[in-house]
Amino acid sequence: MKTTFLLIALWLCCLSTLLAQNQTYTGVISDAADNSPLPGVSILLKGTSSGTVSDASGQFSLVASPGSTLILSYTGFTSSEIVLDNTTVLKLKLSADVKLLNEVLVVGYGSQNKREVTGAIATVKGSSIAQLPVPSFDAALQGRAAGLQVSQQGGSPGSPVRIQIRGTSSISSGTEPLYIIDGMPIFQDIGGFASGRTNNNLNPLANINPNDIESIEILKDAAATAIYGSRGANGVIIVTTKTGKRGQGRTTLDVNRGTSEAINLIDYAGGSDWLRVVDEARRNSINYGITAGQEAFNPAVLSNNALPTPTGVSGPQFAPLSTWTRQVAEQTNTNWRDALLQRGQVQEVNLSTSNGFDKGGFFISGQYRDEEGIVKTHRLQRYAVRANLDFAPSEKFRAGAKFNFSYLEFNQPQLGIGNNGGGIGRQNFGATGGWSQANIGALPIMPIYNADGTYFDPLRGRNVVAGVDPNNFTSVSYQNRTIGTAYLEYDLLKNLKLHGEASVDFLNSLTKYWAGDIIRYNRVGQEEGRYISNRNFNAYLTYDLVGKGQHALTVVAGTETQKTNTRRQDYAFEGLQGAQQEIGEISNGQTQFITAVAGIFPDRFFLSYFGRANYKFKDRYLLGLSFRRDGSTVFGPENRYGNFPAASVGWILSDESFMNSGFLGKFNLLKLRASYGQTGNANIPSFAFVNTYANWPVYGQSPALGFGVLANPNIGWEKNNQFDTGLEFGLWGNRLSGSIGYYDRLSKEMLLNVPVAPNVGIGTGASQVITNIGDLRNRGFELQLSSVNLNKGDFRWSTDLNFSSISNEVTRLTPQFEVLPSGSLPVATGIQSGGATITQIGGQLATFYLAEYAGLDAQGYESIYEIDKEVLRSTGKTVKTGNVIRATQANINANRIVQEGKTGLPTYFGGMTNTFSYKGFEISALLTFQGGNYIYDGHEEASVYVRTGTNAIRAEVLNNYWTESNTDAKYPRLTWNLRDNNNDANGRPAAQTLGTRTTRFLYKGDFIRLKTLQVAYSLPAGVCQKMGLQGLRIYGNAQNLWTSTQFPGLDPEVVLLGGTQDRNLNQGVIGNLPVPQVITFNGGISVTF
Amino acid sequence: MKKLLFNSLFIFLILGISACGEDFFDDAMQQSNSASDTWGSTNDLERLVAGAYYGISGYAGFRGLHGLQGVHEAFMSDLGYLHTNGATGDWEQDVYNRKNNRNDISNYSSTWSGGYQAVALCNEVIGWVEKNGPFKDQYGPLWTDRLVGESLFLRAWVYFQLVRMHAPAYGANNSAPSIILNTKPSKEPFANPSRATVQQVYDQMLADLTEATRLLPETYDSKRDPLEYQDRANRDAARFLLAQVHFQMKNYAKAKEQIDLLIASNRYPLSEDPIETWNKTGLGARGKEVVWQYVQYSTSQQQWKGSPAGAFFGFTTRGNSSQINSGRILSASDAFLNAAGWNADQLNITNLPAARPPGTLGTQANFTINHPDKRLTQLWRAIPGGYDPRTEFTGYTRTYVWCNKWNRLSGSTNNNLFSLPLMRIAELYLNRAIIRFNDGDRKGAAEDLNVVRKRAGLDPVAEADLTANLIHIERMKELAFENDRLYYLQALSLPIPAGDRVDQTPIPWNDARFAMPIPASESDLNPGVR
Repeated sequence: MKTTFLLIALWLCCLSTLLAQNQTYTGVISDAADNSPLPGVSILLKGTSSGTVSDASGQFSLVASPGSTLILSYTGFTSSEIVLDNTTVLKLKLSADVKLLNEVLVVGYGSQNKREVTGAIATVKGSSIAQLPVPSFDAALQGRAAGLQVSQQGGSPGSPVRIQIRGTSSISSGTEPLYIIDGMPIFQDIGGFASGRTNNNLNPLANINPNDIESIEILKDAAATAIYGSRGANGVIIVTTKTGKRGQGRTTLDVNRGTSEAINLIDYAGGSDWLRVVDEARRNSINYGITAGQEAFNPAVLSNNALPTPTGVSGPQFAPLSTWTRQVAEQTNTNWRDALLQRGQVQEVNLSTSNGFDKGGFFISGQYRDEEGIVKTHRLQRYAVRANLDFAPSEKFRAGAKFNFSYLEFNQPQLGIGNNGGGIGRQNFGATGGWSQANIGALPIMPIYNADGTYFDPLRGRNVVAGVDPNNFTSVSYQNRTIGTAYLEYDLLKNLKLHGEASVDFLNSLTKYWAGDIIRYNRVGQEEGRYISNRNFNAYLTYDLVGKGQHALTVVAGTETQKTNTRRQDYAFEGLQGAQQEIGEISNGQTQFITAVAGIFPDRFFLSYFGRANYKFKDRYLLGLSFRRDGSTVFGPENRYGNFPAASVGWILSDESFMNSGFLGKFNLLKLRASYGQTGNANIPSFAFVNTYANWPVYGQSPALGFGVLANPNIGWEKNNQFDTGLEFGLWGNRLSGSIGYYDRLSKEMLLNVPVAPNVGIGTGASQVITNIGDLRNRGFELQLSSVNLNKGDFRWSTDLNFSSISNEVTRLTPQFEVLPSGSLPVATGIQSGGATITQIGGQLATFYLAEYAGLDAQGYESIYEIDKEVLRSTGKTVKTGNVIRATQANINANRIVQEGKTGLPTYFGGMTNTFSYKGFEISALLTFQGGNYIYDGHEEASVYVRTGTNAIRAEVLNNYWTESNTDAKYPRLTWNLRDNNNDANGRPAAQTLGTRTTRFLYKGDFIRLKTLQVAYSLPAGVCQKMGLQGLRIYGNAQNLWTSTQFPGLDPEVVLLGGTQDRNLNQGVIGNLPVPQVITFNGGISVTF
Repeated sequence: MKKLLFNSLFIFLILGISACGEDFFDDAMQQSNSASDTWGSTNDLERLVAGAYYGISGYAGFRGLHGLQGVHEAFMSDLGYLHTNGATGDWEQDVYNRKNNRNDISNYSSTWSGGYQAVALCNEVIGWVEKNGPFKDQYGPLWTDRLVGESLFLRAWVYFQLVRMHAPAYGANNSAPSIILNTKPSKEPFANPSRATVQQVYDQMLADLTEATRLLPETYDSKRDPLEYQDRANRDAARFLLAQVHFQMKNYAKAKEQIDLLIASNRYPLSEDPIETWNKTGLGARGKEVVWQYVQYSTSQQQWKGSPAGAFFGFTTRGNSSQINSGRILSASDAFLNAAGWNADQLNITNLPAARPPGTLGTQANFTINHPDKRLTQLWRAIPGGYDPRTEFTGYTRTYVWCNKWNRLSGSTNNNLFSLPLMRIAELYLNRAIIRFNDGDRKGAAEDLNVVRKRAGLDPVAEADLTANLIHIERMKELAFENDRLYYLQALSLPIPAGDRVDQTPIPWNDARFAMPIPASESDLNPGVR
């Protein structure tokens, strides 16, 4: 670091010597309309290539001789020339070129003037997401753009973010957008790569340093996305990284750090309360599962069994546990939840440098980021380096390379979100209960330690503290990722240029898993390697014809290929020697091999041709056409290719003469646009058209094959036909600007994993076949507004608001999912998922399908509404009879009701940013909101019943359950093992099994949240200059500071990961408790030299 | 320089375009750990057949037909007593009470799925060979007949289990709809076949087994067969199944033909202690009387798939032989124990654990029954009141007798790895005993019965004292909880007694209540069976 300072100081000295006869001019450049400072204005000394650029507060400093001329240029503003005199402190103003509005947007395979764009594209500037304490840029997009729904899975480091553009458009295919980073379509599996054994997911975008980003364009309608063809259906997010600008040499060092803690946690009954409730449940169940005299719960039933021991192994740890007695239970009060928590922290160091030269520029950056989560041992470290270079080797050539290298180290405690913690039964990988277990299966009556300080019963999976101890357990992912693009551009003719681009995305990931012999009968290690190579080539011609008169035409035509290969190497060994937490070599007979797999996952190839034509007449009548033809290995040879056309029109009304007067004259821009087109969705596994057999089964020692995947040779593209229209406007010199839009998207031939009847015989795979089965319609309005509310003196208040509404309807499903005349069972009438949702024709995607809770009955048991089975049989409709019946499991199964209009998908969402600035101070607050959705809180369902004394019980239950003297309680009478006190016809106990999955756990999911509050202060230019700096900014921000919601559970922001179909159909279903969202406080300093 | 750059650009462009055309996709590879269905060698067929055996152990690995078929029988017949306190599901009481009103019981959908999984693989092999003939590789001439024979055998075995579970007993109504009869390889996901009649299924089984006896080798031959064939079906297994099918069809004479052949071969002497049938694991290891058993000694895939039967009747937990099974809920009924002379409270039980639970638990070494009948001492355990560790049972004051055949007592070894005998010669002696008795051959009947009694350590029954009931009772003692009793009574057109169900009377053999409906997992998706 010291060296850097010295070098910079030396360089400054040299510079000042060279220019000794000149004067130093300083100044501030602001917007003539509102006096707001303009950062990034290019200031060039006329006739030379030297110059500078204004900093974040619009300030600059430049050495020049009096009499020379400065050229000020800034995107969207009219250029201005200033002749220098002896005034060395300048106050300069630039006026917005509101008529031209010549902001340039990056679109597929090129860029376009924003004014002339006829598609629906939203832009998020890199500056608005930099310096936020988010590990990846996608998390920072929440609430920033209309139509963009962003949800983050809890507050774990590197936790994935689910982004959906304009809703869910499929059932079995992925519905996340395509990400293009500097031209490279990147690997984007939302689950990312991390340890499956610990249920961690690593955001695949965590490799990208958000501070490197110049801008993010969100392509929403078919006019914008059809050029990406088969991958455009879910929208496209184009990320452009920074590049050096001419005359803007700057080096920025940014250091920040912060802490985080959980927003919201669930409280559980302590030891004595827990025992009291469980004992009472047992007392209530005498003769109905409990023998009189056995009412007092004895934890021996949980630990009396010897642990299953593998062949040839024995030892005292496997014997029944004698130490967990009733007496110990009575004296114990363990808070397992808190035992796993810690204060999270994050620190980040960013260094970047950039400059531009005559025909190009460079940008170099480096970052180290270290984030520790709120669950012990959770940690994500990132080392990222970027080098971007653009240059022109000759008059007709332009070339460049953008190169990002990152290394991640991700320590993952067991989160158990997939419910696989606990126990060492079977052939498992250690008793690592983890976070989820701490919130369900870890009982307050169990001690953490024995009297001698050793872990209490670490082998059965209930001792989650033993399971996160790094001496017992580690799970680390090491990930290298290189994303690079090189391009060449050549002017074949004056108006015809050829652009060729080669991009790579290489991702190598090694995940190590190790469990020691405290938590397993012997040490086990596993290494899981994934090597993904993703290569993309494209070449295209761009022809610009500025015709005679008022015609203008731009044509783009090209071709692209992409190949993605994934290799895997998985090894697992047990009986490892020594405490070294690596697999090592199998050099002694003690180490036993468990598994070794090396191979490939299906390749994924794309071959494409594309074209686009934009025609403009009189600068205000716009027409756009685009087309792409895509071939892919996802589909069989017969259906390999798909064609995706789109057309759009635009009319800039504000240029018409009738708009020149009165109120209409206040419009500096009024543009009407409309588009229609088709895009595809190929987000399913490759080679689904080939029957495959699993080769893992074995009989005795006969290696066997099992029918694994039933192919459908006829599957084809899922097609999205989208109509979009919008009105874009700017008023009073853009004091108020924005757009309002409407879209109607019909997803046709949706791909679905259709269950196949068992008689077909798929036994060792998923008994389903992927088929094009139905149509789904998504419609919605989008509003985006920016306004300057107040601009007086040095004070300025501006607001950015976006709002989106969305609704969907299933318009067609294949016959087997239509209501059957015989209507034998509700199961047959729609696509059910997770025991909680159903998708039917005429209904919404994944409508909740649950027995309807009807309160507690006279005996204190839960009851539900009965449905009319006859109506169900004849019409397939679930209609109440008006009777209220006991919520037994059988009744719940037979009386589920389609909860019309209640789904996990929000019907509206959006965000609002208010920014206040005064001199160097700036405060910015982002509110995000969403609503109209419902959440099924499966964790509440799991933690408010006693069951068999094996789960934690929410504190809320303690004084709020039904008794003879408390009949209006919230929760039912306590029972053991979910049985009621029911007798058969002969008066003998015949307890019925009670069910729990009803609408009583279904809640509205609306929330509004103060997502980000940011305060910053920039030092005045003069002060900076004295310090030899271009700028200095001190900032602090808080994330998730405040949330308002009706949802009583952990957090209303729910993201379900897992398979694509799971994500689409079980959105809004909470199963095991995710790691909660966190409040983060962060502060830092940014110095620009 | 310019030219060089231009050329580079040109090459660049070519790179982008060169792959255009269909050959671009030729390099793309499928997932490496799966096969597609263009079979290339006899070895591929060998693996498909092994896959069919695997299928019998269950759908997706759980709850296989190799044990749940017996659970169904035990819940329906009169030999079991259901401990409702311990029942964890909501279906046990319905099935025990002989209600067949539920089509959503997961055990039945899993046996159905597993069964058809095996059938699909059998059909693939049979259909492939029918269409293409043997492969012309080194194993083609040696193995093809056997592989087709095994496929025919397995298909028939699966159908025999399923048709008895899901259709009226043979002879009750042979034109009634039964199960789906898939006999051709098919990759059509939505063919939606309908139910065949009972007669069609039995006809198919007879045809398949007749052909299988022709194709299968008599015994394993190390020079010809792969090592693992030792654990799979040979001609005798096909004969055994043929005898069972004929017996079920009341074709007693035809059944006896096959039985005679098998017994006369002397390949399966009933000479070892009963336990020797039930304590084998490993390649080729089997009790002498065992004609076919389901093996599961492969630790990688099968150790977590032990007998589902053991989970309901047995003493220990699946996967661990030193731990009392917390899932068992069906003990021997008093009706059966009294008839057998094994009255629970009069049994002499030794090796009780030092203390009663919950302080100390018993293991398999505890609760030994002292009795002259080796079957009782070796294959059953009796737990007196107060010794049962489960909270639901700690209040018991009397003794219950538990069938421990499916759960081995052998040190700490994983009992999931023990082979499950599915065909043993004792059954055929007892079949022949009743056939001979009903034919008037009392001498032959007594001889057959006494072979079984002698092995159990009991005195022979004199020809003069022999009654049909004695044969029935001996059979209960020999084959209890082995998927036998219900079907034996149906084959002989005898009523099925109520057992310990106080509110029931004996049910006629041809009563429709014994047939479970087609599982919802099938009928929901296949309109053909609705």
